[in-house]
Amino acid sequence: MKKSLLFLYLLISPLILLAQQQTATLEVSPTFFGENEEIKLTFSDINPSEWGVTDLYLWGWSYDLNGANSQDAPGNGIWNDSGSGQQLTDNNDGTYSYSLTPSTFFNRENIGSIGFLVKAKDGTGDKKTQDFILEVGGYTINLINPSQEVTLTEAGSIINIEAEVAAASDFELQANGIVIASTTGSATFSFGFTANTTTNFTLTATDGEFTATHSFTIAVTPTVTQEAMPEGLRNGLNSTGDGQAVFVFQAPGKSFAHILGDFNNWTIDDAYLMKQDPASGKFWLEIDGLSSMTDHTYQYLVDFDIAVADPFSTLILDPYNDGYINEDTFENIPEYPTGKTTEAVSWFRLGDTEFNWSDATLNFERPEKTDLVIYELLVRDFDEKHSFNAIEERLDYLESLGVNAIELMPLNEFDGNESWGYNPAFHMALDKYYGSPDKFKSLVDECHKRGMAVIIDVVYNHASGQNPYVRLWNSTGGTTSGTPTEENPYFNTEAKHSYSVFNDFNHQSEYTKEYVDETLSYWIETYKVDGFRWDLTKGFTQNCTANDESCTNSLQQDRIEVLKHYADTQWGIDPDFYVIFEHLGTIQEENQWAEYRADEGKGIMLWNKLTAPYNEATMGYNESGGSDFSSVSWIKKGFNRPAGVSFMESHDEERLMFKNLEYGNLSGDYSVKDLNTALLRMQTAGAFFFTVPGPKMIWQFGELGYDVSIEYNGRTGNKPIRWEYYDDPDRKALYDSWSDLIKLRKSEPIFRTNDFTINTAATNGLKSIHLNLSSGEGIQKVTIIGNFGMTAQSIDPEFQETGVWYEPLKENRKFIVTATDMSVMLEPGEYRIFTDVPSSLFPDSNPPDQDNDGVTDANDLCPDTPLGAIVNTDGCEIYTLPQTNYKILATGSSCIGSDDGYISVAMETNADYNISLTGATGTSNFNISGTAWSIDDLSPDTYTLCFTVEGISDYEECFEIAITEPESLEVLSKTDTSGKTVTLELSGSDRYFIEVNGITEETTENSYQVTLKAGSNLINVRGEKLCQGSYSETFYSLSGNKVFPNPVTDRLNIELMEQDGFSYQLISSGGNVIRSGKIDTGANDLRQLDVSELSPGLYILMVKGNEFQQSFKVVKR
Amino acid sequence: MKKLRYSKTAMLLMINALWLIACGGGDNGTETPEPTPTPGIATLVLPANNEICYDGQIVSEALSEVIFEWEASENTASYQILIKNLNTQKETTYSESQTSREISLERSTPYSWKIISLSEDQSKQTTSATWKFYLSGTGTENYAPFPADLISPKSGQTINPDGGSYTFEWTVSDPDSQILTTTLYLDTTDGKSTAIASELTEETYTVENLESNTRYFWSIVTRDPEGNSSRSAIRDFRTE
Repeated sequence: MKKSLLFLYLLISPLILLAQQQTATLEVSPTFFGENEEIKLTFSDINPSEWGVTDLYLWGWSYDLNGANSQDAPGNGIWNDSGSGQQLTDNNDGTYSYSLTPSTFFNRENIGSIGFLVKAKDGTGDKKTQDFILEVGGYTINLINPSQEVTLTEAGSIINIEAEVAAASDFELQANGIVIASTTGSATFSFGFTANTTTNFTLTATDGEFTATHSFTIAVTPTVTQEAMPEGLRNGLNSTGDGQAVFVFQAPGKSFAHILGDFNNWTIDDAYLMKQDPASGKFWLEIDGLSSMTDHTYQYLVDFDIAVADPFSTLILDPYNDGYINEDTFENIPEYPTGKTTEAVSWFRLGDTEFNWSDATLNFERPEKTDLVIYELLVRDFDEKHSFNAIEERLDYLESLGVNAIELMPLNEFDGNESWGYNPAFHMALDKYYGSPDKFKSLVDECHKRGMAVIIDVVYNHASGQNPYVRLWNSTGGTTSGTPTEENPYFNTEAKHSYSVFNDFNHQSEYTKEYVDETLSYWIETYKVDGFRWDLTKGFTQNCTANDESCTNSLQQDRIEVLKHYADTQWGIDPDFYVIFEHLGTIQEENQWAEYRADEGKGIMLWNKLTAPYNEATMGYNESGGSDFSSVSWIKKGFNRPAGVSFMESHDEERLMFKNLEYGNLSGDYSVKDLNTALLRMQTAGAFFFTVPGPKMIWQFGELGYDVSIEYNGRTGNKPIRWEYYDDPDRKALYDSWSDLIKLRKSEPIFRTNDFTINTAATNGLKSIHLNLSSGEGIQKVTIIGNFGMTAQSIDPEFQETGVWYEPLKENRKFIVTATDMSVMLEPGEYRIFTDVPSSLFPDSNPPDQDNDGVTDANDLCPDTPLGAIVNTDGCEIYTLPQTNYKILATGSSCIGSDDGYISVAMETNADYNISLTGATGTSNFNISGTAWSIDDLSPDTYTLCFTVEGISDYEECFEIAITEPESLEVLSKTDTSGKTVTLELSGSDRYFIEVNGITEETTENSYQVTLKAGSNLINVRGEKLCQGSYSETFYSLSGNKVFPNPVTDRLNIELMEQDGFSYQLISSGGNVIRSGKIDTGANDLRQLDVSELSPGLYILMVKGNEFQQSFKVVKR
Repeated sequence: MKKLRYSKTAMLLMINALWLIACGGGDNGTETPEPTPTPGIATLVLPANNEICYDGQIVSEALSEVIFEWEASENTASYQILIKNLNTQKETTYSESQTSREISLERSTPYSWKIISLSEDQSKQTTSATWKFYLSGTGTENYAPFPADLISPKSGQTINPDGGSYTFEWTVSDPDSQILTTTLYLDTTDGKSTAIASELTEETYTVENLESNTRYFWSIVTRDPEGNSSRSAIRDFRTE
């Protein structure tokens, strides 16, 4: 520590001692300049020799218009080596000059000021002058007081207006356009002004060559006129005709508000000071003379402090995003009033022709809630043109799919252009990125013409920082980046639930309720939409904290009540309005809404997410109930009525096809990762989705198997738009199958029944649905079966009745059910839908066949065959007995040559049978009555056994029955080359008993290896039965025999395992027998040959016993 | 069953007889003993030596009763019958005073047997020759396969073969669950004259070149490895 401190001291002190900074003088020509004008800088009072140099360099930097964002001049070089381009010119009179144009010298635009110093090439050691800062922008007025554009003061106070310019000039001060003061020949201006009303000033200065002006306002806290607001006005703009409009602005606790707009050139004018309604506290003002069919823009300036667009705007202009909106999407968006204000401004027009709604809309009859098939879509990702118009052009596609409602993701004005829309800034304004109000109305009207309802997504849990009610009381004094403060009457400072996004509305505030009630009413009344999908309703409580998820997820009475209140508002305007909550909470809480005013035919619908179990099913994972999507049934879910809007996919969930292809199961050749397999399984998922009673929703392009992940390009990012999928036959087949299913459910009343069951829990993936109806015309019974497993499986369909069933989606093909539990085989991923009567919605391809025996009436010689009878091609019943009628046991003869074979037959059906048995010796016939027959003492043979039934012609069933006898034993022995083992190849028996030297082993193998002991080995083999014969053989192992020593000198020892005597021959290498003899000596003795007199060389000794012969090579030394 | 009961009764009688002999021996205990004569060799009668398929009297799946008979030997008070199971090499001894004995034995098994003749005081004994026989069991048992169940085409149906091609389907089953092979018969006469494909192990077969507007007959013959077979019902169908 001490050391480094000392070091620092040593380092710093010489710098202080050797400080070489010089104080120079700068002369600029011209005095006032803009960034694109060339200036000449001339420095004096510099002595380069003090720095030990002769050359001097300019070091420059610049600031932006706000005096911030300092940047060095690009040509500066580095401090100890200035760029040579910035060397000053020595004027040889003690002055040094440099000429530059700021925008090029600093390589930037919008320069507010520039700075310089002069230095030695190596500036180390403070070889530099002081800093010089020059304003860019030419001849300007520096207003010293008041220091702000808008200065607040009380009436009667005196404000001293002070200003200066850089050169002696003439000044003129205007107040509200009238000259009230002027001076000449001075660089400064001063004037005392008594402020009684808000006044806009313009101060002008001129030095003969240059002129400058500066505008500012002295705002006097106005006295707000308290006056009752006319009856029947709503918040925001109220057009009262003839160029008149009344603006109503709720800003609780604020003192006053001025309207700024194109009609007063965005100036603060007490003529536009809003009155206040004493009863409600709302500010209001009527403005006359607004030109019609003209774009008007305005904001409210609140307390001279924060200017906001009208919170109840129906359209806004956005300075940042409007430039990117295509003219095809939204024509003639006016210019933003740049320079006059900042942030969003309200935009309105008066006197335009109203949209002409067709009768389809005026008399629109909405689909029954339970019949709804909703198509959720995001305008941005549905068509490249991302417009209402583009959707309208695609309605044929949706109509042919059969959906009866479209649900558009939020259309409210949201931050930016490209968004999911859950960042609402203005809840009543239509976002312009999708098109104009009339284009939206046209889409709604066209949907209604096609019988399709329009539901829009509304986001009242929160608002973005742009929302005027966030800005008016926020942490940054009104910018769009602040968060609500304690004073905010609309928003919580922190979310009161665990799903915090943006700024959380306080729905217990009466102000919030009024805001929500009025903005939602506008959409219903103006755009004639048919329903709202309420985003994130879990957030509508005030009871929890941002960290308390368990509180957020449990029943909260306050949000039950406030959401009922909002439902009442909607139904108050439109009694049949669809109210749908994305709540995803407890059934106890959801049921309170589902039941709310249900007796009046209202009741709220609730999103019912089933993504996971359906996806497990399509992927082929059915273990431990993962694919049990039974909650698609409102009964299983726990509702009392079809209140759940069930979906496999939504904007918020991963696409099933993506996971099918990425993670699908595999079984042999059958892979869910295969595109067409996956698509076929989506068909089956559809068959188990659309057929379940109650509202359903699909996410855009699910019907074409869209398989790009939700996370592609970021969760909310743009997704590729793939209309080419429609041209892919496999994908189109999915679209077609869903279309058929939707058609079926929409038109057949049984799909509204309360009498249905769903059986989806089996871990083998076999699932079924049964629906029953007992009234009216049409289909009364439906059985649906499907195999979400990975292999072909048969299912008990549990048909409700036997008889003729139909498969409506297969041209109503007949299916004869002879037993309700008759099993049906399903391939993996296959489904079948059976109905008790054909559906008139689909073609009937069944040929005329009145007895349903599969033989057309024209060919049917027996047109009244009982149902389920097996018939021939003449349509006449064939006599049949059960396939397993004859259980025939054949018993072979017990031994070779015994004729004791036996046949016994057990019949399932009691009948008078004629039996014929034909063998080599001829045919025997038997007539029996009953269920059993047998015959014994048969000799081995193959018999033909035929059964006929007394009185039935054309019935015969024949069998060939083999009566076998034991095979004879065959044994093949093979000694291996070493002579130590014998392998026995065995056949003719199931078991073998092998006796080796008196020890018996048993084997069922057909090969048996015996290890021989030295000497002789007796092997006996027999089969199971003695009649099969037996085998016996003796093997002699030579492995123990030896002669030694070898090479030998005089006596050769011969050691043999054989105990008996033997003979021998000694043979020379030339082949001559040199000696032969016989040795009879006893067991295991050493037998010797004297070979001492043999001449050296190689000899062969042949030894021959009773059971063996062996030769040895012997070398004589 | 009846046989078994009879055989128990015989055993009881035999035990009584031995007890009587023992008592009689006690009465003569004080006489001077004479040298015990050596028993003669019993001559075996039944089952005949090397009988390779001896039936016995079948009493159950597993057991048969075999009557052993021999001729009485001299100086013999009683006999022992030694029966060896040649598969297990286990030997069992029975005592008998008469010259025959009915014994329950495991079927399908080879045996050897011999008789030891015992003197009265059992101090001397003589062993007979050893005979072998095979006690036969049941022959090989096997169930015939059930006739195949013809699935497709359905009987009487009119089918529309795709370019003459049609896939026939059936199922086979067998009480023994043996491996089954099938032969498909298809013709326009009786459904059993023309084998189209044989040794099939799959339960489907695709036939090409079916004629249109024709009545066909078909059947399936199912065969098990033991040579048993069954023919399904013969069914007919039409082509469009």
